[in-house]
Amino acid sequence: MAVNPHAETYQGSTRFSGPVKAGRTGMGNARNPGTLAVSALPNLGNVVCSQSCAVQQAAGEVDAVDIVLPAYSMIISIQCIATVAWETTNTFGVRVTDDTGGFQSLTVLVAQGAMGVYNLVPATAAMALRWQNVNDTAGVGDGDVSIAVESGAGAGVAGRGILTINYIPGLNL
Amino acid sequence: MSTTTFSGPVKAGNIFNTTGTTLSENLSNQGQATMVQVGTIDESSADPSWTGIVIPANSQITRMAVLVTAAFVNQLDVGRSDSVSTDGDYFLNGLVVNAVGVVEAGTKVANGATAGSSWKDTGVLDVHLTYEDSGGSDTGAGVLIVEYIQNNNLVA
Repeated sequence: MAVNPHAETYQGSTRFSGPVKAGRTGMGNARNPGTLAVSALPNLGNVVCSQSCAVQQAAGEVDAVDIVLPAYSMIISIQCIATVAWETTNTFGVRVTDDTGGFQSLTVLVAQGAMGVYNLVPATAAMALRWQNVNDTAGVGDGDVSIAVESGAGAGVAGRGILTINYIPGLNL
Repeated sequence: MSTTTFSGPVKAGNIFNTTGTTLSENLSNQGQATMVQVGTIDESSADPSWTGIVIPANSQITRMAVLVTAAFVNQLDVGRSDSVSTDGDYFLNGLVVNAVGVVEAGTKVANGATAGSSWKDTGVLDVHLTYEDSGGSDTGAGVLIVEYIQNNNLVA
């Protein structure tokens, strides 16, 4: 697990235990078009939450990272900024840890053989459903989930980067 | 979990107002939190159908994407319904969602408004987002993701 030497060095922070929302509340689910005036409808949105961590290829084939998502969150995008290219025969992907310590894929494996920004995406229905609800996986219980990355058999290779996961906490869709 | 709700927008930065021209001292560095709303979509539902998404007035849309959990046969339009008008492809027209995964949309997907204008500023009223896909009994499914900056009210 890579260490971020710059963590928590910038000014104060404001923290909330739950989702941060902004907009007009009320009316529950009574939001069918034409049944209510627009000005009466809730327009509540969620603040996009992000967690980022340093990742490196010089690690085990599947390596836990410093990202833990709240239970029932929805992932809306995953990005890796490769600051040092991955060894070309290895690929990079993101996984979620299940209750037995196993790993379930969140993204398809991609080659990161050059420095740059990589958008990581699901490629199967099972992966997509895990994005929709991170607890929607056989073997993943009701609690928070931890994230791991796979770099192939890349121990001792120099690939490094920053992994970012954008999500809506506790949406339970 | 507990929820904290603001009428919005939510901003962050340690210099609130610009009172001079010196960086890190008196030049505002506040940014707005990116907001997101999501709604499930179903190819077999009636056209148009309601997404459950209501975007606050004068917002700037920064991203539309579809998390496709079951591939669609038909293309997807995203429109609006409000007290001004109903326009089935106001935001997106003909987005191809025929494979499982994440499909990123852009205003390059020809929409019913002048290119880009519907994303730049959603207008003076809240807008309901609708979708249609001519799907009939087809079984495509997914989640529409809309990211926006609340009440940014840009003029360009």
